[in-house]
Amino acid sequence: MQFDIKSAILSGDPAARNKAYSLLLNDAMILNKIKSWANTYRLTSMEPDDVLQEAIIKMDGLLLDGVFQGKSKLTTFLLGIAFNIIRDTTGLKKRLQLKGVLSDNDCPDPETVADQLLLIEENAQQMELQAEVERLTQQLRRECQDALQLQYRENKSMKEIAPIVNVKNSDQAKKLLSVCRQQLRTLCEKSPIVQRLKHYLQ
Amino acid sequence: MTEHFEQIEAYLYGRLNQEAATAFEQAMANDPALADAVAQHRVEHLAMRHLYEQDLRRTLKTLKEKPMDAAPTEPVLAKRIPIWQNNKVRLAAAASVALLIAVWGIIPKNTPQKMFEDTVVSVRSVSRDIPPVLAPAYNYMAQKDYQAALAALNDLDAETQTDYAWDIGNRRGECYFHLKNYQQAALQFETVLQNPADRTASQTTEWNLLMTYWATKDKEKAQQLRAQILSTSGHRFKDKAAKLF
Repeated sequence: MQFDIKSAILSGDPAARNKAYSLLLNDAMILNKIKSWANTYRLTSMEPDDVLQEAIIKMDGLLLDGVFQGKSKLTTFLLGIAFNIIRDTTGLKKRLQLKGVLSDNDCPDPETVADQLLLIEENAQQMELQAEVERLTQQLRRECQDALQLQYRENKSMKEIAPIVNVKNSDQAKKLLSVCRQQLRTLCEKSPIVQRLKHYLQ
Repeated sequence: MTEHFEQIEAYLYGRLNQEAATAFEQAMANDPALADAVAQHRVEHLAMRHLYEQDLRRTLKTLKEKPMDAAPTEPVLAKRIPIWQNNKVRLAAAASVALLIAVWGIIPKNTPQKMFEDTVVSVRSVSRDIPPVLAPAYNYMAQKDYQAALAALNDLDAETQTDYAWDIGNRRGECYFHLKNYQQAALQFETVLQNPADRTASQTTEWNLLMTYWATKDKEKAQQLRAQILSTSGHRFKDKAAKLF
């Protein structure tokens, strides 16, 4: 049976997800296409490998947001994102959004997909806020960094999170998450930049 | 935590139905404190998303270096042990240094393994375009994951196996060679030589087979094949063969 990359990414199973990412990262067809576009558009600010990596990260986010509903055209979707990144020679900080919900019918080729993607120019306030938030996350304890991102992305149960963050049981995991979230909140509340700019975030 | 923690999270994660979401937005419009709390949650989500993307970037980097079947099967976030507390790492590092010092003066300058590697790289650098169907296996080979490359070659359908018999057989031989399974490597190269794709291909395989015989210390076969290469007019590996032994 053919390996379903999209299901693997959404499965929450780290092994399946890693395999899916690995297949995409090492797909010669995808990388060759990106190299070809990079040449055509004279991309110099990023290596094709980096474009692919960033495209996978953006694709992952869009899959999680549930806006890509196609079943069989994931590669086309990924290439569309990569093409969009190259064509518009973006900075990495820009956010990528879809104009709507995409299905297989909307994905005849990467160029069409790219046209359905919007790169949102972040204004100065948003960029300043983003930089401050990134700085604050580095002040979190390592186990808090792990626990918070697990909660954000994985939607895992406390029982599943516990061994990953090195605590004994689900009760301790729940307590850790609560403490970490509070720690993050305190950092944000004490940051004049966050307090000044938080309403710019949509 | 905020008074409306669960409700705000449900709204931001899109778990509220349309009616509930509209009501919540209405409540925000009428309650600046609630709107402020939602803005605070958005910032926290931005932070968590950043942490997640940072970790995903690390994972992708690892997977790029160690693709597919060699990919880690443990969770993306493995338990982290500070490296200075990991005795295995300390021992391995010490052992590596000792081993390097010990073997530095012992390894001969020219080994079949080294010459094979040099030749394969130079051959591949001038080879024709890689057939897309073989690209996954080539990628594994580029990553030096020869077990995965063999698996990828074996997974190819029968039609592809026939169409690219020389490429596949030769790559299988290379993989076995790198895995130090010289008997299987020799078998693959010998089989391929029975039906070479062209003259250049044939000469490449002959050289690979010569390196393999050398690696197995089968002097008789190695000398015989070397003589054959030396006697072939214009053989592309003639000069290299002349310098052997």
